[in-house]
Amino acid sequence: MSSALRSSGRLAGLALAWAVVGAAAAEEVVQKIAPEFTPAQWLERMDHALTTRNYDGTFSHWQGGRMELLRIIHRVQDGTVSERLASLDGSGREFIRTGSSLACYLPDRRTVLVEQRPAEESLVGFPTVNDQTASFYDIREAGHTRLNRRDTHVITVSPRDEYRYGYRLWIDASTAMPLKSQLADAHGQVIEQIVFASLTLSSHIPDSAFRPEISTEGFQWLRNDAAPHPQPGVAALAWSAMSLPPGFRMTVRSAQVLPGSASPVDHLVFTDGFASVSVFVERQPAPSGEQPVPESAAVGSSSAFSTVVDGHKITAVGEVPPATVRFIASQLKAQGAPSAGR
Amino acid sequence: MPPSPGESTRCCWQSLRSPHIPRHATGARRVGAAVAASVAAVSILWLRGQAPPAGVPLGAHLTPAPLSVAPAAATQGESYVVPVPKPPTVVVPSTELANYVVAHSMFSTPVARRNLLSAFMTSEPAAAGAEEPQGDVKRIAQ
Repeated sequence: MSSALRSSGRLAGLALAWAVVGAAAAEEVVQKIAPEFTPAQWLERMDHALTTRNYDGTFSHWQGGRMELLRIIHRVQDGTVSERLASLDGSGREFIRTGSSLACYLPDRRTVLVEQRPAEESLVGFPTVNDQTASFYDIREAGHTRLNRRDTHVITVSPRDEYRYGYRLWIDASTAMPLKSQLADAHGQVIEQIVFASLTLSSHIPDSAFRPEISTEGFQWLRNDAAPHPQPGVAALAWSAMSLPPGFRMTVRSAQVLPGSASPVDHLVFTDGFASVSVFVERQPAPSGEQPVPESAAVGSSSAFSTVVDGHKITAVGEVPPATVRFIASQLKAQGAPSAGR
Repeated sequence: MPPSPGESTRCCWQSLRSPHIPRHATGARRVGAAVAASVAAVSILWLRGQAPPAGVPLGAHLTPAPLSVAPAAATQGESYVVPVPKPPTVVVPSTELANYVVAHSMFSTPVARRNLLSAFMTSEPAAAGAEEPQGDVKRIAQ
């Protein structure tokens, strides 16, 4: 009896050993098949997938206790990027981009905003992570997990200070598409989340997919009928930030005409590599006796801050904490330009 | 003649009450009982040492109840109050702000752009008549 027990124990041990060896061998095979990427490389692969692939997906967007479903369709065809983002419930708003044309349908305001962008202006992607970027963010792979029956790599981008937000991204191991993303504040608190319920990668998406579903009869259309100004004017060169949050630098300076506005607006873009802040400078009409006061706003987790400096309204918008847009907007000064209102 | 069911039960009961136990086994039982009694005594002394001092309510070690639970929940047991959602922090974006958001989205990273535009799509719809271009923003009819 005892010899039988000893025999079966040996067999069990042998089976366990074989299982461990087999699992290790299987893992080794998987590692040989799937090349290992660093977290920064996963971000670059995700960026590339988001901007170059054709896809049609439905996702939930959660922010501030509210959740809504949206649909996104993205296509790159003959070098032209088309994108449509539509709210499936709630406001019913739609954002459609076809090449250099942007249209924002706001049925709740019976308004359509149409903006023409310079054709050569491409969408910005995640930059290559360099030492400077890494000094303001901690980029790690938190592990692998299954999400909606797909293998994903969980990449975390954690800010090292309170001037920026962090990300947690579930990147599909096969396609590098982000199936889930969370935006978190400097304390790691999730403030916004996107989760794909369905995602289809298609080789062909018809033009009809980029037409709005809503009727625009009776809507007011606001356009920037003037041609965009690819080169900055004298006024644009006059505005600059006296100081910036650590890591931020100015990367774009342009003058453009926004829908519904007759005069050009100076547009400055500041970025730290991940987060970006746009600052818009436009002439403020003559004061009517009341002193304008700075005001803050929020679009989801993104922040906006508006103030008046030297007769110009300065508005900073970006996917950063409110303190960051306030900091940048309040540091903007006109330097010796006649058009700056001095 | 087979015994009746009652007799059979009585027989077994008696055999359980009067087992034949060797003398050395009885001694072992006494030792075991002594060990068990000692462990019980030590346990009682230890528990007394862990008890809070007199006058301190036992509930002082408990964490406070979640704020979302109504006081009535403690008495009614099965009812609770659904947490009231936070007031929306989303400020209704003006047409001007919408312009800025769309223009800025062109310079955001892909994930940030998706977040930004999604938030704009899902922000609170404007009340009728609440949104009018202000300042030098001019309407250009189609």
